[in-house]
Amino acid sequence: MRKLVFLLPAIGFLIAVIIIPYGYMIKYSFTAYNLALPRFSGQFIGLENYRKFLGEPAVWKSLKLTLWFCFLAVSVEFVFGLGGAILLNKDFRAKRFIMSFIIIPSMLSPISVALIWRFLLMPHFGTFLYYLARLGIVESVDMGIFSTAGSAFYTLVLIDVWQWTPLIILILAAGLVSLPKEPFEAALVDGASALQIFKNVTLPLLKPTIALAILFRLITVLKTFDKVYLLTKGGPGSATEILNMYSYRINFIRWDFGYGSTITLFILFIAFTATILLLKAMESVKSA
Amino acid sequence: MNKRLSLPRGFGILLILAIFIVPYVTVLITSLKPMEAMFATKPVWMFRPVLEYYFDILIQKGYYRFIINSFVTAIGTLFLSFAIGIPVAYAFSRFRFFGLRKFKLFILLTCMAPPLGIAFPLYFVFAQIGLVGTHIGLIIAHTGINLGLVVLVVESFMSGIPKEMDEAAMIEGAGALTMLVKIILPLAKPGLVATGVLVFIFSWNEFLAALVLTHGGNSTLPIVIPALITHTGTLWGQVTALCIVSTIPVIVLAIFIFKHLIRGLTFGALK
Repeated sequence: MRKLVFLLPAIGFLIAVIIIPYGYMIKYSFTAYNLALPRFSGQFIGLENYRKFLGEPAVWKSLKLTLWFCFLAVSVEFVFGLGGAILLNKDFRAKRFIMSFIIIPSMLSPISVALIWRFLLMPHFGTFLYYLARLGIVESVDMGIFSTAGSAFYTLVLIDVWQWTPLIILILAAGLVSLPKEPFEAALVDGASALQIFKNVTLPLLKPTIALAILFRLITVLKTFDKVYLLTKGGPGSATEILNMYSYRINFIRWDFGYGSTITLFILFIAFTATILLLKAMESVKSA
Repeated sequence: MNKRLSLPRGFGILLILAIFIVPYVTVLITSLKPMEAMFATKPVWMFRPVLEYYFDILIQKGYYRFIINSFVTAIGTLFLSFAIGIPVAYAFSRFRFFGLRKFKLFILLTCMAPPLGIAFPLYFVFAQIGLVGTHIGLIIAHTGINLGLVVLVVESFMSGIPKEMDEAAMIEGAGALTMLVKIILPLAKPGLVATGVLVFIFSWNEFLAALVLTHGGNSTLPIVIPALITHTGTLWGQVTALCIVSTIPVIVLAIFIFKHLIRGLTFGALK
Protein backbone atom coordinates (compact mmCIF):
# COMPACT_ATOMS: atom_id res chain seq x y z
CA MET A 1 0.00 0.00 0.00
CA ARG A 2 3.06 2.27 0.08
CA LYS A 3 2.49 2.59 -3.64
CA LEU A 4 -0.52 4.72 -2.82
CA VAL A 5 1.79 7.44 -1.54
CA PHE A 6 2.70 8.25 -5.13
CA LEU A 7 -0.93 8.75 -6.04
CA LEU A 8 -2.09 10.66 -2.98
CA PRO A 9 -1.07 14.19 -4.06
CA ALA A 10 -2.83 13.71 -7.39
CA ILE A 11 -5.93 12.23 -5.77
CA GLY A 12 -6.13 15.14 -3.34
CA PHE A 13 -5.61 17.64 -6.15
CA LEU A 14 -8.20 16.05 -8.41
CA ILE A 15 -10.77 15.98 -5.62
CA ALA A 16 -10.19 19.66 -4.85
CA VAL A 17 -9.95 20.90 -8.44
CA ILE A 18 -12.26 18.57 -10.36
CA ILE A 19 -14.59 16.58 -8.09
CA ILE A 20 -15.72 19.33 -5.68
CA PRO A 21 -16.17 22.02 -8.36
CA TYR A 22 -18.12 19.53 -10.44
CA GLY A 23 -20.28 18.79 -7.44
CA TYR A 24 -21.16 22.46 -7.37
CA MET A 25 -21.82 22.56 -11.09
CA ILE A 26 -24.10 19.53 -11.01
CA LYS A 27 -25.94 21.03 -8.05
CA TYR A 28 -26.38 24.38 -9.81
CA SER A 29 -27.70 22.67 -12.91
CA PHE A 30 -30.79 21.83 -10.84
CA THR A 31 -31.27 25.38 -9.58
CA ALA A 32 -32.31 28.84 -10.73
CA TYR A 33 -29.09 30.71 -10.14
CA ASN A 34 -28.31 33.97 -11.89
CA LEU A 35 -25.72 36.46 -10.65
CA ALA A 36 -27.35 39.26 -12.64
CA LEU A 37 -30.85 38.56 -11.31
CA PRO A 38 -30.71 38.43 -7.49
CA ARG A 39 -34.14 36.83 -7.19
CA PHE A 40 -32.65 33.65 -8.71
CA SER A 41 -30.27 32.79 -5.93
CA GLY A 42 -30.08 29.04 -6.20
CA GLN A 43 -33.65 27.79 -5.65
CA PHE A 44 -34.06 24.11 -6.48
CA ILE A 45 -36.09 23.78 -9.69
CA GLY A 46 -35.61 20.12 -10.49
CA LEU A 47 -35.07 19.33 -14.15
CA GLU A 48 -36.25 22.75 -15.36
CA ASN A 49 -32.82 23.72 -16.82
CA TYR A 50 -32.59 20.40 -18.63
CA ARG A 51 -36.08 20.84 -20.03
CA LYS A 52 -35.18 24.37 -21.14
CA PHE A 53 -31.98 23.05 -22.70
CA LEU A 54 -33.74 20.38 -24.75
CA GLY A 55 -36.42 22.79 -25.94
CA GLU A 56 -34.13 25.68 -26.80
CA PRO A 57 -33.72 26.18 -30.58
CA ALA A 58 -30.46 28.10 -30.05
CA VAL A 59 -28.92 24.95 -28.52
CA TRP A 60 -29.73 22.79 -31.50
CA LYS A 61 -28.60 25.45 -33.95
CA SER A 62 -25.37 25.80 -32.01
CA LEU A 63 -24.89 22.02 -31.83
CA LYS A 64 -25.40 21.69 -35.57
CA LEU A 65 -22.97 24.54 -36.19
CA THR A 66 -20.40 22.94 -33.87
CA LEU A 67 -20.64 19.54 -35.55
CA TRP A 68 -20.50 21.12 -39.02
CA PHE A 69 -17.45 23.14 -37.96
CA CYS A 70 -15.72 20.05 -36.56
CA PHE A 71 -16.52 17.94 -39.60
CA LEU A 72 -15.39 20.55 -42.15
CA ALA A 73 -12.24 21.56 -40.30
CA VAL A 74 -11.08 18.03 -39.51
CA SER A 75 -11.76 16.62 -42.98
CA VAL A 76 -9.98 19.46 -44.78
CA GLU A 77 -7.10 19.24 -42.32
CA PHE A 78 -6.87 15.51 -42.91
CA VAL A 79 -6.78 15.78 -46.72
CA PHE A 80 -4.18 18.57 -46.71
CA GLY A 81 -2.31 16.90 -43.88
CA LEU A 82 -2.02 13.60 -45.74
CA GLY A 83 -0.93 15.40 -48.92
CA GLY A 84 1.68 17.34 -46.99
CA ALA A 85 2.93 14.26 -45.16
CA ILE A 86 3.36 12.36 -48.43
CA LEU A 87 5.23 15.30 -50.01
CA LEU A 88 7.55 15.37 -47.03
CA ASN A 89 7.99 11.59 -46.91
CA LYS A 90 11.45 11.71 -48.41
CA ASP A 91 14.82 12.00 -46.79
CA PHE A 92 16.42 15.33 -47.61
CA ARG A 93 18.92 17.58 -45.96
CA ALA A 94 16.79 20.47 -44.65
CA LYS A 95 13.85 18.26 -43.67
CA ARG A 96 13.95 18.78 -39.91
CA PHE A 97 14.61 22.48 -40.38
CA ILE A 98 11.60 22.86 -42.69
CA MET A 99 9.35 20.69 -40.51
CA SER A 100 10.15 22.73 -37.43
CA PHE A 101 8.98 25.84 -39.26
CA ILE A 102 5.87 24.21 -40.71
CA ILE A 103 4.69 23.32 -37.19
CA ILE A 104 4.72 26.97 -36.02
CA PRO A 105 0.97 27.69 -36.52
CA SER A 106 0.01 24.71 -34.33
CA MET A 107 2.19 25.96 -31.51
CA LEU A 108 0.93 29.55 -31.52
CA SER A 109 -1.83 30.47 -29.12
CA PRO A 110 -5.26 30.54 -30.77
CA ILE A 111 -5.37 34.18 -29.72
CA SER A 112 -2.23 35.01 -31.73
CA VAL A 113 -3.59 33.05 -34.67
CA ALA A 114 -6.90 34.92 -34.52
CA LEU A 115 -5.11 38.23 -34.21
CA ILE A 116 -2.85 37.50 -37.17
CA TRP A 117 -5.85 36.77 -39.38
CA ARG A 118 -7.97 39.58 -38.03
CA PHE A 119 -5.17 41.95 -38.95
CA LEU A 120 -4.47 40.45 -42.39
CA LEU A 121 -8.17 40.45 -43.33
CA MET A 122 -9.06 43.81 -41.79
CA PRO A 123 -11.32 45.95 -44.00
CA HIS A 124 -9.46 48.71 -45.93
CA PHE A 125 -5.98 48.04 -44.56
CA GLY A 126 -5.65 44.25 -44.32
CA THR A 127 -2.61 43.15 -46.30
CA PHE A 128 -4.14 39.85 -47.45
CA LEU A 129 -7.56 41.38 -48.06
CA TYR A 130 -5.89 43.80 -50.47
CA TYR A 131 -4.43 40.94 -52.52
CA LEU A 132 -7.65 38.90 -52.30
CA ALA A 133 -9.51 41.89 -53.72
CA ARG A 134 -6.89 42.32 -56.45
CA LEU A 135 -7.30 38.66 -57.38
CA GLY A 136 -11.07 39.10 -57.41
CA ILE A 137 -11.69 36.54 -54.65
CA VAL A 138 -13.46 39.16 -52.52
CA GLU A 139 -15.43 42.03 -54.00
CA SER A 140 -13.54 44.93 -52.51
CA VAL A 141 -11.25 45.90 -49.67
CA ASP A 142 -14.27 47.34 -47.85
CA MET A 143 -15.57 43.87 -47.15
CA GLY A 144 -15.89 42.91 -43.51
CA ILE A 145 -15.12 39.21 -43.78
CA PHE A 146 -16.00 38.56 -40.14
CA SER A 147 -19.16 40.65 -40.16
CA THR A 148 -20.76 38.76 -43.05
CA ALA A 149 -22.61 35.62 -41.94
CA GLY A 150 -21.44 33.15 -44.62
CA SER A 151 -17.84 34.29 -44.95
CA ALA A 152 -17.35 34.58 -41.18
CA PHE A 153 -18.08 30.89 -40.57
CA TYR A 154 -16.04 29.51 -43.45
CA THR A 155 -13.16 31.86 -42.74
CA LEU A 156 -13.11 30.56 -39.16
CA VAL A 157 -12.93 27.03 -40.56
CA LEU A 158 -10.05 28.01 -42.87
CA ILE A 159 -8.18 29.66 -40.01
CA ASP A 160 -8.59 26.47 -37.98
CA VAL A 161 -7.26 24.54 -40.99
CA TRP A 162 -4.27 26.88 -41.18
CA GLN A 163 -3.53 26.38 -37.52
CA TRP A 164 -3.92 22.61 -37.24
CA THR A 165 -2.98 21.08 -40.62
CA PRO A 166 0.73 21.30 -39.65
CA LEU A 167 0.10 19.03 -36.67
CA ILE A 168 -1.65 16.47 -38.88
CA ILE A 169 1.22 16.66 -41.38
CA LEU A 170 3.69 15.95 -38.59
CA ILE A 171 1.69 13.08 -37.09
CA LEU A 172 1.10 11.39 -40.44
CA ALA A 173 4.70 12.00 -41.56
CA ALA A 174 5.87 10.27 -38.37
CA GLY A 175 3.47 7.41 -39.18
CA LEU A 176 4.75 7.10 -42.75
CA VAL A 177 8.39 6.95 -41.65
CA SER A 178 7.67 4.12 -39.22
CA LEU A 179 5.93 1.88 -41.80
CA PRO A 180 7.74 -1.40 -42.60
CA LYS A 181 9.68 -1.40 -45.90
CA GLU A 182 8.94 -4.98 -47.08
CA PRO A 183 5.32 -4.55 -48.27
CA PHE A 184 6.40 -1.64 -50.49
CA GLU A 185 9.28 -3.61 -51.98
CA ALA A 186 6.98 -6.58 -52.62
CA ALA A 187 4.43 -4.35 -54.32
CA LEU A 188 7.15 -2.81 -56.52
CA VAL A 189 8.36 -6.28 -57.51
CA ASP A 190 4.79 -7.15 -58.45
CA GLY A 191 4.77 -4.09 -60.72
CA ALA A 192 2.12 -2.08 -58.87
CA SER A 193 1.65 1.55 -59.90
CA ALA A 194 2.23 4.41 -57.46
CA LEU A 195 -1.50 4.92 -57.06
CA GLN A 196 -2.11 1.22 -56.41
CA ILE A 197 0.65 1.16 -53.81
CA PHE A 198 -0.87 4.20 -52.11
CA LYS A 199 -4.36 2.73 -52.07
CA ASN A 200 -3.56 -0.90 -51.24
CA VAL A 201 -0.39 -0.67 -49.16
CA THR A 202 0.17 2.79 -47.68
CA LEU A 203 -3.36 3.62 -46.58
CA PRO A 204 -4.16 0.29 -44.87
CA LEU A 205 -0.82 0.28 -43.05
CA LEU A 206 -1.26 3.90 -42.00
CA LYS A 207 -4.81 3.37 -40.76
CA PRO A 208 -4.10 3.31 -37.00
CA THR A 209 -2.09 6.55 -37.24
CA ILE A 210 -4.83 8.15 -39.33
CA ALA A 211 -7.47 7.16 -36.78
CA LEU A 212 -5.34 8.58 -34.02
CA ALA A 213 -4.73 11.87 -35.83
CA ILE A 214 -8.40 12.36 -36.71
CA LEU A 215 -9.79 11.51 -33.30
CA PHE A 216 -7.15 13.59 -31.62
CA ARG A 217 -8.13 16.56 -33.76
CA LEU A 218 -11.83 15.91 -33.14
CA ILE A 219 -11.31 16.24 -29.42
CA THR A 220 -9.17 19.37 -29.69
CA VAL A 221 -11.51 20.98 -32.22
CA LEU A 222 -14.30 20.57 -29.66
CA LYS A 223 -12.29 22.91 -27.42
CA THR A 224 -12.32 25.71 -30.03
CA PHE A 225 -13.25 28.95 -28.35
CA ASP A 226 -10.48 31.55 -28.35
CA LYS A 227 -10.46 32.19 -32.09
CA VAL A 228 -14.22 32.61 -32.24
CA TYR A 229 -14.12 34.89 -29.20
CA LEU A 230 -11.58 37.21 -30.78
CA LEU A 231 -12.82 37.15 -34.36
CA THR A 232 -16.62 37.13 -34.23
CA LYS A 233 -17.81 36.71 -30.62
CA GLY A 234 -20.29 34.21 -32.11
CA GLY A 235 -21.71 36.71 -34.58
CA PRO A 236 -22.87 38.18 -36.82
CA GLY A 237 -26.14 37.32 -35.11
CA SER A 238 -25.45 33.76 -34.03
CA ALA A 239 -23.84 32.68 -37.30
CA THR A 240 -20.66 31.41 -35.62
CA GLU A 241 -21.96 30.68 -32.13
CA ILE A 242 -20.49 27.25 -31.52
CA LEU A 243 -21.39 25.47 -28.26
CA ASN A 244 -18.42 26.76 -26.26
CA MET A 245 -19.29 30.32 -27.24
CA TYR A 246 -22.94 29.76 -26.35
CA SER A 247 -21.95 28.33 -22.99
CA TYR A 248 -19.63 31.29 -22.37
CA ARG A 249 -22.38 33.77 -23.28
CA ILE A 250 -24.93 32.18 -20.96
CA ASN A 251 -22.48 31.85 -18.06
CA PHE A 252 -20.37 34.98 -18.23
CA ILE A 253 -22.41 37.51 -20.22
CA ARG A 254 -25.87 36.60 -18.92
CA TRP A 255 -24.43 35.25 -15.65
CA ASP A 256 -27.02 32.44 -15.71
CA PHE A 257 -25.04 29.83 -13.80
CA GLY A 258 -27.98 27.46 -13.40
CA TYR A 259 -28.76 26.99 -17.07
CA GLY A 260 -25.09 27.53 -17.92
CA SER A 261 -24.08 24.56 -15.78
CA THR A 262 -26.45 22.34 -17.73
CA ILE A 263 -24.87 23.40 -21.03
CA THR A 264 -21.33 22.93 -19.75
CA LEU A 265 -22.21 19.42 -18.56
CA PHE A 266 -23.58 18.63 -22.00
CA ILE A 267 -20.37 19.81 -23.74
CA LEU A 268 -18.40 17.65 -21.35
CA PHE A 269 -20.52 14.68 -22.19
CA ILE A 270 -19.69 15.09 -25.90
CA ALA A 271 -15.97 15.51 -25.15
CA PHE A 272 -15.93 12.40 -22.96
CA THR A 273 -17.65 10.27 -25.56
CA ALA A 274 -15.03 11.36 -28.11
CA THR A 275 -12.25 10.60 -25.61
CA ILE A 276 -13.42 7.05 -25.05
CA LEU A 277 -13.28 6.56 -28.81
CA LEU A 278 -9.77 8.05 -28.89
CA LEU A 279 -8.67 5.63 -26.21
CA LYS A 280 -9.85 2.68 -28.26
CA ALA A 281 -7.90 4.04 -31.24
CA MET A 282 -4.77 4.49 -29.11
CA GLU A 283 -4.97 0.89 -27.98
CA SER A 284 -5.25 -0.33 -31.55
CA VAL A 285 -2.19 1.78 -32.46
CA LYS A 286 -0.21 0.21 -29.64
CA SER A 287 -1.23 -3.32 -30.53
CA ALA A 288 -0.60 -2.75 -34.25
CA MET B 1 20.06 7.55 -49.69
CA ASN B 2 18.97 10.03 -52.30
CA LYS B 3 19.16 13.46 -50.71
CA ARG B 4 18.04 15.50 -53.72
CA LEU B 5 14.42 16.33 -54.33
CA SER B 6 12.62 16.26 -57.64
CA LEU B 7 11.50 19.68 -58.86
CA PRO B 8 7.73 19.22 -58.30
CA ARG B 9 8.26 17.80 -54.83
CA GLY B 10 10.68 20.55 -53.86
CA PHE B 11 8.25 23.13 -55.15
CA GLY B 12 5.37 21.51 -53.24
CA ILE B 13 7.35 21.53 -50.01
CA LEU B 14 8.25 25.19 -50.46
CA LEU B 15 4.58 25.98 -51.08
CA ILE B 16 3.54 24.26 -47.85
CA LEU B 17 6.24 26.11 -45.97
CA ALA B 18 5.05 29.41 -47.47
CA ILE B 19 1.39 28.79 -46.61
CA PHE B 20 2.20 28.17 -42.98
CA ILE B 21 4.76 30.87 -42.30
CA VAL B 22 3.93 33.79 -44.64
CA PRO B 23 0.94 35.03 -42.57
CA TYR B 24 3.06 35.08 -39.44
CA VAL B 25 6.01 36.72 -41.19
CA THR B 26 3.71 39.35 -42.71
CA VAL B 27 2.51 40.35 -39.25
CA LEU B 28 6.11 40.33 -38.01
CA ILE B 29 7.07 42.70 -40.85
CA THR B 30 4.04 44.89 -40.16
CA SER B 31 5.02 45.31 -36.52
CA LEU B 32 8.23 46.96 -37.77
CA LYS B 33 6.57 49.34 -40.24
CA PRO B 34 6.55 53.08 -39.60
CA MET B 35 3.05 54.55 -39.19
CA GLU B 36 2.65 55.88 -42.74
CA ALA B 37 3.63 52.52 -44.26
CA MET B 38 1.28 50.58 -41.98
CA PHE B 39 -1.86 52.36 -43.08
CA ALA B 40 -1.17 52.72 -46.76
CA THR B 41 -4.13 51.44 -48.79
CA LYS B 42 -1.68 49.49 -50.96
CA PRO B 43 0.64 47.28 -48.90
CA VAL B 44 4.16 48.74 -48.63
CA TRP B 45 7.05 46.30 -48.54
CA MET B 46 10.03 48.67 -48.61
CA PHE B 47 10.53 50.79 -45.51
CA ARG B 48 12.98 51.53 -42.76
CA PRO B 49 12.06 49.19 -39.88
CA VAL B 50 11.28 50.81 -36.55
CA LEU B 51 11.01 49.29 -33.08
CA GLU B 52 8.86 52.08 -31.67
CA TYR B 53 5.70 49.97 -31.24
CA TYR B 54 7.62 47.47 -29.17
CA PHE B 55 8.96 50.29 -27.02
CA ASP B 56 5.55 51.99 -26.74
CA ILE B 57 3.58 48.95 -25.67
CA LEU B 58 6.14 47.18 -23.50
CA ILE B 59 7.93 50.03 -21.75
CA GLN B 60 5.81 53.14 -22.05
CA LYS B 61 2.47 51.44 -21.43
CA GLY B 62 4.10 49.00 -19.04
CA TYR B 63 2.79 45.83 -20.70
CA TYR B 64 6.01 44.04 -19.80
CA ARG B 65 4.26 43.18 -16.54
CA PHE B 66 1.80 40.95 -18.41
CA ILE B 67 4.78 39.09 -19.81
CA ILE B 68 5.89 38.61 -16.21
CA ASN B 69 2.36 37.42 -15.28
CA SER B 70 2.35 34.90 -18.13
CA PHE B 71 5.83 33.77 -17.15
CA VAL B 72 5.00 33.37 -13.46
CA THR B 73 1.83 31.44 -14.28
CA ALA B 74 3.56 29.14 -16.75
CA ILE B 75 6.51 28.39 -14.44
CA GLY B 76 4.16 27.88 -11.48
CA THR B 77 2.03 25.50 -13.55
CA LEU B 78 5.15 23.65 -14.65
CA PHE B 79 6.31 23.05 -11.06
CA LEU B 80 2.91 22.20 -9.59
CA SER B 81 1.93 19.84 -12.39
CA PHE B 82 5.33 18.12 -12.22
CA ALA B 83 5.17 17.77 -8.44
CA ILE B 84 1.75 16.13 -8.64
CA GLY B 85 2.03 14.38 -12.00
CA ILE B 86 5.47 12.75 -11.94
CA PRO B 87 4.77 10.41 -8.98
CA VAL B 88 1.60 9.27 -10.74
CA ALA B 89 3.47 8.72 -14.01
CA TYR B 90 6.02 6.67 -12.10
CA ALA B 91 3.35 4.59 -10.36
CA PHE B 92 1.59 3.99 -13.69
CA SER B 93 4.79 2.84 -15.38
CA ARG B 94 6.03 0.58 -12.55
CA PHE B 95 3.19 -0.68 -10.37
CA ARG B 96 0.15 -2.79 -10.98
CA PHE B 97 -2.69 -1.96 -8.65
CA PHE B 98 -6.42 -2.15 -8.29
CA GLY B 99 -8.29 0.54 -10.23
CA LEU B 100 -5.30 1.53 -12.36
CA ARG B 101 -7.17 1.54 -15.64
CA LYS B 102 -10.07 3.54 -14.21
CA PHE B 103 -7.73 6.07 -12.68
CA LYS B 104 -5.86 6.41 -15.95
CA LEU B 105 -9.08 6.95 -17.84
CA PHE B 106 -10.12 9.62 -15.37
CA ILE B 107 -6.79 11.43 -15.81
CA LEU B 108 -7.19 11.31 -19.58
CA LEU B 109 -10.73 12.64 -19.33
CA THR B 110 -9.55 15.65 -17.34
CA CYS B 111 -7.21 16.71 -20.11
CA MET B 112 -9.75 16.17 -22.85
CA ALA B 113 -12.34 18.34 -21.10
CA PRO B 114 -12.94 21.69 -22.80
CA PRO B 115 -11.22 24.49 -20.83
CA LEU B 116 -14.56 25.88 -19.72
CA GLY B 117 -15.29 22.47 -18.21
CA ILE B 118 -12.36 23.04 -15.82
CA ALA B 119 -12.42 26.80 -15.40
CA PHE B 120 -16.14 27.32 -14.92
CA PRO B 121 -16.68 24.90 -11.99
CA LEU B 122 -13.47 26.20 -10.43
CA TYR B 123 -14.88 29.70 -10.59
CA PHE B 124 -17.60 28.71 -8.09
CA VAL B 125 -15.04 27.44 -5.59
CA PHE B 126 -12.45 30.18 -6.16
CA ALA B 127 -15.06 32.91 -5.84
CA GLN B 128 -15.88 31.62 -2.36
CA ILE B 129 -12.30 31.32 -1.10
CA GLY B 130 -10.99 34.46 -2.79
CA LEU B 131 -8.74 32.89 -5.40
CA VAL B 132 -10.31 34.61 -8.42
CA GLY B 133 -7.85 37.17 -9.77
CA THR B 134 -4.74 35.62 -8.22
CA HIS B 135 -1.73 33.96 -9.80
CA ILE B 136 -2.13 30.90 -7.61
CA GLY B 137 -5.75 30.42 -8.72
CA LEU B 138 -4.78 30.42 -12.37
CA ILE B 139 -1.80 28.16 -11.69
CA ILE B 140 -4.15 25.64 -10.05
CA ALA B 141 -6.54 25.79 -13.02
CA HIS B 142 -3.69 25.38 -15.53
CA THR B 143 -2.34 22.47 -13.52
CA GLY B 144 -5.78 20.88 -13.72
CA ILE B 145 -5.76 21.34 -17.49
CA ASN B 146 -2.20 19.99 -17.95
CA LEU B 147 -1.97 17.26 -15.31
CA GLY B 148 -3.15 14.60 -17.75
CA LEU B 149 -0.53 15.63 -20.28
CA VAL B 150 2.26 15.38 -17.68
CA VAL B 151 1.11 11.98 -16.42
CA LEU B 152 0.60 10.39 -19.83
CA VAL B 153 3.67 11.75 -21.63
CA VAL B 154 6.07 11.23 -18.73
CA GLU B 155 4.69 7.73 -18.25
CA SER B 156 5.34 6.98 -21.91
CA PHE B 157 8.98 8.01 -21.44
CA MET B 158 9.36 6.13 -18.13
CA SER B 159 7.93 2.94 -19.59
CA GLY B 160 10.79 3.06 -22.07
CA ILE B 161 13.35 2.75 -19.26
CA PRO B 162 14.26 -0.93 -18.81
CA LYS B 163 12.95 -2.57 -15.63
CA GLU B 164 16.38 -4.14 -15.01
CA MET B 165 17.47 -0.70 -13.82
CA ASP B 166 14.93 -0.93 -11.02
CA GLU B 167 15.87 -4.46 -10.09
CA ALA B 168 19.56 -3.60 -9.85
CA ALA B 169 18.75 -0.66 -7.58
CA MET B 170 16.32 -2.75 -5.54
CA ILE B 171 19.07 -5.30 -4.81
CA GLU B 172 21.19 -2.46 -3.48
CA GLY B 173 18.33 -1.74 -1.09
CA ALA B 174 16.88 1.41 -2.63
CA GLY B 175 13.26 2.28 -1.82
CA ALA B 176 10.73 3.31 -4.43
CA LEU B 177 11.22 7.02 -3.79
CA THR B 178 15.03 6.85 -3.90
CA MET B 179 14.72 4.88 -7.10
CA LEU B 180 12.50 7.50 -8.67
CA VAL B 181 14.78 10.39 -7.73
CA LYS B 182 18.18 8.75 -8.26
CA ILE B 183 17.57 6.40 -11.18
CA ILE B 184 14.38 7.04 -13.11
CA LEU B 185 14.28 10.85 -13.22
CA PRO B 186 17.82 11.28 -14.58
CA LEU B 187 17.12 8.65 -17.25
CA ALA B 188 13.80 10.25 -18.17
CA LYS B 189 15.38 13.70 -18.49
CA PRO B 190 14.77 14.23 -22.24
CA GLY B 191 11.12 13.32 -21.72
CA LEU B 192 10.84 15.61 -18.71
CA VAL B 193 12.33 18.52 -20.66
CA ALA B 194 9.95 17.95 -23.58
CA THR B 195 6.92 17.65 -21.29
CA GLY B 196 7.96 20.70 -19.30
CA VAL B 197 8.29 22.77 -22.44
CA LEU B 198 4.83 21.70 -23.61
CA VAL B 199 3.25 22.50 -20.25
CA PHE B 200 4.94 25.90 -20.33
CA ILE B 201 3.66 26.59 -23.85
CA PHE B 202 0.10 25.42 -23.09
CA SER B 203 -0.09 27.54 -19.96
CA TRP B 204 1.45 30.51 -21.79
CA ASN B 205 -1.13 30.17 -24.59
CA GLU B 206 -4.18 29.33 -22.49
CA PHE B 207 -7.04 31.77 -22.81
CA LEU B 208 -10.39 30.75 -21.34
CA ALA B 209 -9.37 29.87 -17.80
CA ALA B 210 -7.28 33.04 -17.68
CA LEU B 211 -10.21 35.06 -18.99
CA VAL B 212 -12.57 33.70 -16.34
CA LEU B 213 -10.17 33.52 -13.40
CA THR B 214 -8.05 36.68 -13.67
CA HIS B 215 -8.69 40.34 -14.07
CA GLY B 216 -6.78 43.57 -14.50
CA GLY B 217 -3.35 43.48 -12.99
CA ASN B 218 -3.10 39.69 -12.91
CA SER B 219 -4.06 39.03 -16.53
CA THR B 220 -1.82 37.05 -18.84
CA LEU B 221 -0.81 37.99 -22.39
CA PRO B 222 -3.64 36.17 -24.23
CA ILE B 223 -6.14 38.22 -22.21
CA VAL B 224 -4.63 41.66 -22.71
CA ILE B 225 -4.02 41.28 -26.46
CA PRO B 226 -7.72 41.05 -27.50
CA ALA B 227 -8.55 43.82 -25.01
CA LEU B 228 -6.38 46.18 -27.06
CA ILE B 229 -8.73 45.84 -30.02
CA THR B 230 -11.41 48.49 -29.71
CA HIS B 231 -14.08 49.89 -31.95
CA THR B 232 -12.84 53.43 -31.52
CA GLY B 233 -9.45 52.85 -33.03
CA THR B 234 -7.00 50.03 -32.54
CA LEU B 235 -3.29 50.81 -32.37
CA TRP B 236 -2.38 47.96 -34.67
CA GLY B 237 1.31 48.68 -34.48
CA GLN B 238 1.31 48.04 -30.75
CA VAL B 239 -1.07 45.08 -30.99
CA THR B 240 1.03 43.29 -33.60
CA ALA B 241 4.20 44.06 -31.65
CA LEU B 242 2.75 42.55 -28.47
CA CYS B 243 1.44 39.56 -30.42
CA ILE B 244 4.89 38.89 -31.90
CA VAL B 245 6.54 39.23 -28.48
CA SER B 246 4.07 36.70 -27.06
CA THR B 247 4.89 34.16 -29.77
CA ILE B 248 8.70 34.28 -29.60
CA PRO B 249 9.18 32.02 -26.54
CA VAL B 250 6.71 29.53 -27.96
CA ILE B 251 8.47 29.25 -31.31
CA VAL B 252 11.95 29.04 -29.80
CA LEU B 253 10.86 26.35 -27.30
CA ALA B 254 8.95 24.33 -29.89
CA ILE B 255 11.97 24.20 -32.21
CA PHE B 256 14.17 23.30 -29.22
CA ILE B 257 12.13 20.17 -28.37
CA PHE B 258 11.06 19.40 -31.94
CA LYS B 259 12.30 15.80 -31.69
CA HIS B 260 9.78 14.96 -28.96
CA LEU B 261 7.02 17.28 -30.09
CA ILE B 262 4.76 14.68 -31.71
CA ARG B 263 5.06 12.31 -28.78
CA GLY B 264 4.07 15.10 -26.43
CA LEU B 265 1.25 16.46 -28.56
CA THR B 266 -0.33 13.01 -28.95
CA PHE B 267 -0.09 12.33 -25.21
CA GLY B 268 2.58 9.70 -25.69
CA ALA B 269 0.54 7.60 -28.11
CA LEU B 270 2.91 8.17 -31.03
CA LYS B 271 6.70 8.00 -30.70
